[in-house]
Amino acid sequence: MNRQAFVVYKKELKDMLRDRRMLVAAFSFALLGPVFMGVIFMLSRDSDAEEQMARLAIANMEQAPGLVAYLEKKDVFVSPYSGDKMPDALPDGTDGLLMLPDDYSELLKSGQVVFGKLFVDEGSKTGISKGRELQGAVDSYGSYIGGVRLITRGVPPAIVSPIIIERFDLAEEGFVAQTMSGMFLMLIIMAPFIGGLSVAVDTLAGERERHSMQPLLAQPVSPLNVILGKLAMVSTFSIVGTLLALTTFLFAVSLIPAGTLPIALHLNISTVPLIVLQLIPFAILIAATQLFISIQVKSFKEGQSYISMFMMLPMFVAYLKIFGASKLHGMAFFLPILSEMESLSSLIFNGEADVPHLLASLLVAVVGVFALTTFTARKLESEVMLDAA
Amino acid sequence: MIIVKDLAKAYGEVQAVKSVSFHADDASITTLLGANGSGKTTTLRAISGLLKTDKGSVTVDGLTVADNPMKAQRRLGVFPDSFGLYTRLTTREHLEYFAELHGLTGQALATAIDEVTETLNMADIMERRTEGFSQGQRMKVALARAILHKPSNIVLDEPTRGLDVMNIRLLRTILLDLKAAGHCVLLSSHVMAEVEALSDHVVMMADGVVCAEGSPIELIEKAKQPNLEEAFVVLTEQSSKRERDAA
Repeated sequence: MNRQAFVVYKKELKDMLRDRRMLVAAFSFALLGPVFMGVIFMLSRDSDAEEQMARLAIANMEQAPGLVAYLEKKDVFVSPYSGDKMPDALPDGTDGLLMLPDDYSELLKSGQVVFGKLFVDEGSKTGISKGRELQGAVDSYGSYIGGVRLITRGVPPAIVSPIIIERFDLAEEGFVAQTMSGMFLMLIIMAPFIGGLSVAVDTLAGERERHSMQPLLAQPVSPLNVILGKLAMVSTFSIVGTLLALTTFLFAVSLIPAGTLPIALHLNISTVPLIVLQLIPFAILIAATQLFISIQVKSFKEGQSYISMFMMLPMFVAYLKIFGASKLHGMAFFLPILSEMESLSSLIFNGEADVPHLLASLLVAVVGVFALTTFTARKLESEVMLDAA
Repeated sequence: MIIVKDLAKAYGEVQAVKSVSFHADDASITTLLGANGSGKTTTLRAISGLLKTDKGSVTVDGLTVADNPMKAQRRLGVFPDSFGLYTRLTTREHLEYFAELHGLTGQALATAIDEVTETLNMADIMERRTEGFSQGQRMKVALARAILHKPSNIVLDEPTRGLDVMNIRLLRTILLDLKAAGHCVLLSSHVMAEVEALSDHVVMMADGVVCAEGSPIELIEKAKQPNLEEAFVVLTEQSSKRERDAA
């Protein structure tokens, strides 16, 4: 950085650090973000637990120890049900209710058919899934008992089960894990957007609105140096905000007991510097973009509106990655933000560098910062800068 | 010394300055006198290197502004039409910032600030943030910012706007001192009393052209009127009529 740009940087930094609102806006995300993330992870963890353990209430459970043992082996949590009437709703905390007849054990012993009723609640996607899981487990027990009866009568059970299908899930990771890792990356990616937002608006749109742009431009300093100084200031906020958020997020995740989340961090001595190396140019790119937007507007308020809209971009891209990754062309992952997320995902969750995406994100940052800074400096030369809102 | 030759500038369809030529000498106070919208601010902005003109040229101490904007700006001290202060910075921090942009450092910077503080009698506001300053205090900071690097040419756009009588008198004294020190002082105004009291040379502007120039006495005599205000009315009306006839 040359001397004049450094003079601008020094003044801008001093000016912004004295505005308490700017500091709160820039760094609150690093403190509140982990809380937000914690809530999301807790919710996700609950639903994960629900996915693993379906809960079934059983009427006349004491007559069916074999069924209970079988279901528990199948990861179904069973509990007794004392009512004998058809329920209006499932008992609290259960995913299904199995009504066995009062003479269940006698019917079973005498080799007769038992007519039971399974009540489920298919009012939600989870309810449908759990209902099917319970139906499958109970049916499976019925087949097992049928097989035992055939064996005692000297008939091989394979006669009534000519085809046996075993199901395999080829998905690389579960949906919950994919969502959680996507959310984690989204929060990291959003940090530079939030860190530089207010200061980027204030330093150009705000300067114009306060009529201080004209005296500045009347000094013997080139527009490029003015922009470089301001870019350095916004980047400082962006980088500090991002690294602070990264630190607090990783610390928050480290507090969650290992194994209770479907995602795991694989950070090591070689990946952490790479994460920082990737995030710094990205933060500068976002700062340059925010300045480019800020110079197009005449007032702080107008600038805030446009830059807030720009904030939606990382959220949109993150949701695209979470919900639509399989439908995207492979080259799409070399685009800005997506390449960032791909590379960060590999560094954080796999503990290894995804070199093509890492290089793509660095290249985009370098080219983007150069182009945006050039455009912004050129715009600063324009005489429209002299007029405020 | 500032020389403006055949300057023209349009903003879209609006021809703000049609043809303006004049010179502002060293050790002299030159005033652009004109009504609102006559092209004064556009002319001063062009001199300050803030605008690209459509036609004509501006030279500051022999340097063409269009070709060497930053070199010319080093020789200029600009007091713009609005003070444009940073409310979170103290007066001293303002002056340090602008002095550093002019390349001053170390002892030279400290001396420049001390001198301008004494000249403008502003020691009491040096360590205060500018938020909440009175108009007079703002004027002092803006003027100090414009003159602290000791430019040979000082350009002021309606400097007395919003000031009370005491501050106008203070500003007048400062401008006369600058003139006495050999600076070229160029200002714009539409306040007749101020123009008459300060100016060695008046450039009357109307509708983007220079309609008359000379000392206040010469202009009064030329218009055959009792005072500068009446002379201004007559000379600008004559100019407008000539423009209409030519059109």
